[in-house]
This record gives sequence, C-alpha cells and structure tokens, in this order.
Amino acid sequence: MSDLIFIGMLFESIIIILAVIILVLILTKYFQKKHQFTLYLFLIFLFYLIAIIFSWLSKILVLYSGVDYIYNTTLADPGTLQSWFVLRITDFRFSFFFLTIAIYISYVLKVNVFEKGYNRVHKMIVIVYGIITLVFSLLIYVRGNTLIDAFAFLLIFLYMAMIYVPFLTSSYKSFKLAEEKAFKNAFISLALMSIFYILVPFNFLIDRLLILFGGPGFSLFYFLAWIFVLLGMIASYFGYIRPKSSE
Amino acid sequence: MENFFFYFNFVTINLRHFQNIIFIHQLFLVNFVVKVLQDLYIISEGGIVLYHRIFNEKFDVQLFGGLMSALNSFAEELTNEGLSNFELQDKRYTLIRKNDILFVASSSNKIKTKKVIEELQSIVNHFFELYPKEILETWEGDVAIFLDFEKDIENSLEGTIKKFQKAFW
Repeated sequence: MSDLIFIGMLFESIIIILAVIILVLILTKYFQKKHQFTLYLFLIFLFYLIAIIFSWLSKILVLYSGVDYIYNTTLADPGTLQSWFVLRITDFRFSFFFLTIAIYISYVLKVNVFEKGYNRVHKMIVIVYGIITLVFSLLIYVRGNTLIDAFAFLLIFLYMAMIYVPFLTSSYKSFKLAEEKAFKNAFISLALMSIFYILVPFNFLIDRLLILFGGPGFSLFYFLAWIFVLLGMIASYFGYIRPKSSE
Repeated sequence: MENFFFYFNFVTINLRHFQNIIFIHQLFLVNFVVKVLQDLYIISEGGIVLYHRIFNEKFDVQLFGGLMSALNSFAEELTNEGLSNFELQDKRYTLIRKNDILFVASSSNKIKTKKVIEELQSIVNHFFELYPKEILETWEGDVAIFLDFEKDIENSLEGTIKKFQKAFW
C-alpha cells in the first residue's frame, strides 16, 4: 500500500512541476497583457496548484510524518487543532476547498470571455452551490467515513461539470465558427481542456466509490484522474498561452 | 386635406423604410464581423429590394432583386422548394425565403455551404424573433428597440476572439 502511495506522490510531484511551469507562463503573460482575464486565469491555476500541493502533502504526511493516527485509522482522532488540520489534509478536504475556489473563478472567466453578462439565476446557483461545497469540504467530516468522503468528491465533480460543460460548448461553437487556423486550434484545445477537467473529479469519484465497496484505493481511476490533470494542463497551454495573435 | 393625408402617409412610409434600413444594417453587422457573409439583399415577394448592402456595386440592385425573385419563383415552380444557392465564379449566393421575404447573401465559395446557411438563417431568425411580422406591420419607429440587437453584436464570435486576443493571445 505504501508503495502505491509513494508512486502517487511521485506522480503528483510531476504534476506540480508542470503546474508551476504553466503558472509562470501565465504570470509572464499577465505582465505582458496586464488584463483582468489573464489575472483570473492566473488565480485559477494558482488555486489548482495549491489544491494539488495539499493532495501531495497528504501523501507526505502518510509516508513520512510518523504521526500514528494518520496511517492507523483504528486510532481515535485526538481532537486537537493539529489533528483537525492534518486529517482534513490527508482526506483531501483542503484540496477540495481550493478546487472549489478555482472552479468559481473559472465560472467568472467563462462568463467574461464567452458571454455578455451574468445570468442572475445561474450566478446565484453557482455561488450557493460553491458555498455548500466549501462548507461541506471543511466542516462535514467524519474520520473513516468513506461515504461522506465520496459525497464530497461527488459535489466537486458536479461543480466542475456545472461550469466546464458550458465552457466546452462555448469553446466548441467558437471552434466551429472561427476561420483562422490558430484560433480554431486554440478553441478546440479549450474544449478538450474542459473535457479533461471534468474527467478528473469523475475518475477520483469512481476511485472513491471503489474504496467504499471494499477496494484498497489507488486504483487505475486514481492514476487516470492525474493523467487527465496532465492532459488538461497541456490543453490549457495550447488554448491560452501558445496561440500568438496576428494583431 | 386629401393632400395633407397623402403627404403624411408618404413621410410615415419613408421614415419606416429608413428605420428598416438602420435595423437591417445592424443585422448585417453581426454576420459581417464573423466574416462569413459578404453582400446581403432583402427582397420583397414582388422582387423589390427593400434593403441591400454591397461592398462593390457592379449592377443595378433592383434588377438583381427582380432576377433573384424570378429565379426563386421559377425554381419553386420546378421543385416546390425554391432556389437554395448558386455560384458565380468564386462567389456563392445563398437564398432563404421566409414570410414572403427573400434573404439573399453572397459569400466566398470556399466557405462551407452549411456555415453560410447557418449565418444567414441566424439573420432571418434574429429578424423575425426581435421584430415579428405583426410588430413590423405596426412599428411606429422607436429606435430604442434596436438596443437589444446591438448587444447581440457585442456577443458575436469576433467579440470572443477579441477578448482572447486582448487577454491571452
């Protein structure tokens, strides 16, 4: 089991390196463009990166911290402030927290680039759902209760789909209408990015459901999820950073 | 008194025609910015060109309108469906008829027919969605009703590309 956790940690280390590179490229782009949307994109990737770092940290804590109640689930939660933080890190709740913020900023970016303004009802739904997810991530937690964990994964998956399915359709429509090859490539990359990002929590959810039904965890779906993170970042690069305008 | 009514009707009809032109010009802009459609004609059932927008006027517009209407009527006689498109050198003319009004648009023949039809259909739909037949018949010339359409222009693909260019590309 610890071998799988170690492989997971290595996998996430690679993702972190890639995410840092993408983040630096976005920051460079922001200094060039000084545009609010570029700042939104930077914030999205910053929060994604923080979420990944917390996930990576959970493996570090399990492998190297030596804190017994982390890896031995039969031991009771000591109920200290430290254990409150540590247990929520190891069960990905902090990752969910930052993911939720990143998804909300993705919604803001999506409305700004593809639409002419906010739909009041949609905005309310997105905000209320986001708050529910944030609260659930940090406060609705019972140690060792995989069902509640799976529900947290489900909330994140639905939130991701809620924002990135419309992002996908808007990108695809733009791809169909654009004539310049560079623009077409960029829009199709963004459409693919949306699919990959939706598939990330979907695969994590399946992995969690397998644990719920008695699996050991770190299944194929866990690694598929991280592969989709990797693909999503590559697609983001081709969608946002790589294209050079002829303007 | 009779002369007054004649003059009043003349002014009203011309005012409406002028406002129609403004409106249709706005409609055209939506598609012009996505660089699919080039010239646009809106032709009445009798072949009179109600509105036209041409980049390089080479022929009599009214003659062209009459010809289009006649060709379409002839095609309708033959096929019951009318003429959908035809090509002249590197230009393709696409036709859509709705509510007895013929919409004709030219485009490069390199652009897929399906895309051109979609664009022209969106002009037709916008036209009748925002200003249904009943409204156009009783329209009193309130220019403010065009504001919604201007927002649509902002929401065009060109707008999206511009936003991406400014922020990322």
